[in-house]
Amino acid sequence: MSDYDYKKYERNEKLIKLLFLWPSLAILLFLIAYPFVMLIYYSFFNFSFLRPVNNKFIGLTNYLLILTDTYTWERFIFTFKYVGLSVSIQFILGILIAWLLQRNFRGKDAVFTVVLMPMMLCPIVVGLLWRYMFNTEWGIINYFLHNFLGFARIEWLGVEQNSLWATIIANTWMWTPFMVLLASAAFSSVPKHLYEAASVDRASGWFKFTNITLPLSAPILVLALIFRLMDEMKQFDLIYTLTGGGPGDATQTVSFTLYKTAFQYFYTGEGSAWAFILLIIIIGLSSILIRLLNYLSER
Amino acid sequence: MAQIRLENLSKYYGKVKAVDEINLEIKDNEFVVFLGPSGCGKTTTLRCVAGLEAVTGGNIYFGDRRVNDFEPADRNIAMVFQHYALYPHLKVHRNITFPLKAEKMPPSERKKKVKEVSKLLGIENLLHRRISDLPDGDKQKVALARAIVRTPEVLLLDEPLSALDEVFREQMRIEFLKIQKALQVTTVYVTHDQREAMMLADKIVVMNEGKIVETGNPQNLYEEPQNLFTGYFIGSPGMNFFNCRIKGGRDVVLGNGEDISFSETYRQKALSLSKVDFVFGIRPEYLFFKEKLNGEPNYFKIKLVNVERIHEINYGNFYLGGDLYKCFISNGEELGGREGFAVFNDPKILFYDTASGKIL
Repeated sequence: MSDYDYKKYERNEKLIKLLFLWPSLAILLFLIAYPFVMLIYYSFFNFSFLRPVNNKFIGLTNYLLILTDTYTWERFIFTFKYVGLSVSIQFILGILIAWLLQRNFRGKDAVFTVVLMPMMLCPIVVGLLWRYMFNTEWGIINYFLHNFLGFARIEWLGVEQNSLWATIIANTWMWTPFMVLLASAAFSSVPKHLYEAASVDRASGWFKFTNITLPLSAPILVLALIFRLMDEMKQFDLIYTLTGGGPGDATQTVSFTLYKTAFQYFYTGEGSAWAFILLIIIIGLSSILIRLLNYLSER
Repeated sequence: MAQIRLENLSKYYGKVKAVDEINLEIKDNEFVVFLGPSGCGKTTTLRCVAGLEAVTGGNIYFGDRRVNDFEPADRNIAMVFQHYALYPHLKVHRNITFPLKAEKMPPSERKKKVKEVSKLLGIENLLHRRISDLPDGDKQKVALARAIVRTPEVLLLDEPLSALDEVFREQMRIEFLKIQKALQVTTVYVTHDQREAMMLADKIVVMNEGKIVETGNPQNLYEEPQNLFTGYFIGSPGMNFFNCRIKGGRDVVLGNGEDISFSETYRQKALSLSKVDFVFGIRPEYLFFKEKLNGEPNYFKIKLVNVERIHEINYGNFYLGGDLYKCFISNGEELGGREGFAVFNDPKILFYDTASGKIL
């Protein structure tokens, strides 16, 4: 190839690369970058998309409005309670179940599939399902608690404290399988010969689990934690069908409040501010965990 | 207290007989090396002794205790693995204390033990390093330290040097000998490297195809292998084996029909076997190449292909009936292509049965 040809070839190469690149780049820009910029933009306006004209620039007023309202803090407290408890329970339960599923027994594959099932359902459906099961009068949960264990009928979705646990139970039922899946993958990636060495070294099952299995699968477990945390912080669908945010506003998460502000009251500007605040919280939380992840995988 | 006895030990994987009814006694404090080609069952045997594999048949005894159903943890053994099997997330000193921690030894005692063992192996300066930062030789030293820190009754080593390069191997072999003598521990060592076996073993167990071919001390196995396989496998180069036949009830000829001259004593010995076919075995070191005969009684005609230097000794290669053989050449002259005689005069002449491969 002569020098001239080579330059031509190089130019063509660049052109082809660009041609391949721009469609996906355009889609990304249109679907992610544009809405994101507009979100930040709208959050500084007194804007509702029901009234496209006559928006006023109001600076940080939307943010101040949100952050000075005690109602906001109640929503945050509920959200942190809900997310914190759900994710912790999912995490511990998931690891425990994955650990049990590490053993060999008959029908292990079938059990594994059944365990993973809830995760494959649609959150809306799961919400409705549990709503029926939690029904005070004829729900199956009270039926068992009342008829077999002799408890009084519990107002699962009608009392504030109960409804927190009802949402956590439904949420845990649905998302623990995700932890099981990732923990199983993490556990089975630990080299077998380390367990052999450990059993020769007279380590008990528990000692092996805490000293080999857990530390070696920590990176994947933390990754799963990050996924769950990000997902839970913005969870909306399950709560929407299960409690509708009720009783009162008791089970309204931040993202549910966001939904109401933006799509029921159509305060688009304020809703945008909510969304931006939520985004910053999620980024903050996950960056802490990502740091932990990096630390763990560097060891 | 740690004699090991294997009684009709078998391990099958489906239809594959990895270990096939072997019997063996290992004395207290003995350094036993299992030697054989890959797939001969030596590692499987070791893993059965360790309790990492359940046996298919037979028994394993430690002293008088039948340990078949014992967990590895209950056998008071320690093991060094081929690929170290160090805990990658723990620093060196925590790897070494792992077995002590597992049995809940107090920290002060653990510290003392680590100090002792690391001094013995010369790895005191590595204690706070990460496993991933160590060169292979040091990794294996750490693995050895972890194995002996608990003073086990039986030390098992599964090809511990095969992942190391030659320099480290040399060092580690010496290390193993030193440790074994210092600790007085019954040691079972698996390798496919006959030089390693020759250097380390009190007793070598030669294995092939799931069976024990022969056991003995290194010297005997080298000088007088009771089996063709042993003769071939031990020594580098291995033993030469020539097919021979008795012609007309009185003369010995080589397998390809060519003459071989035997002295009267050798001839009588060959005839006394009362076999038509037999195998004559001789180490290359005892088979000399001569261009001219000088009245020697034992010889046959050969044509050298080339000369090869192995461990500072010159060997001449030659073909006989399609097989390659080696003989000793006393001077380093370029003799490739020359015709001459392979001369031998070993008082211990070895004859083997053609069919069974056993010594006659």
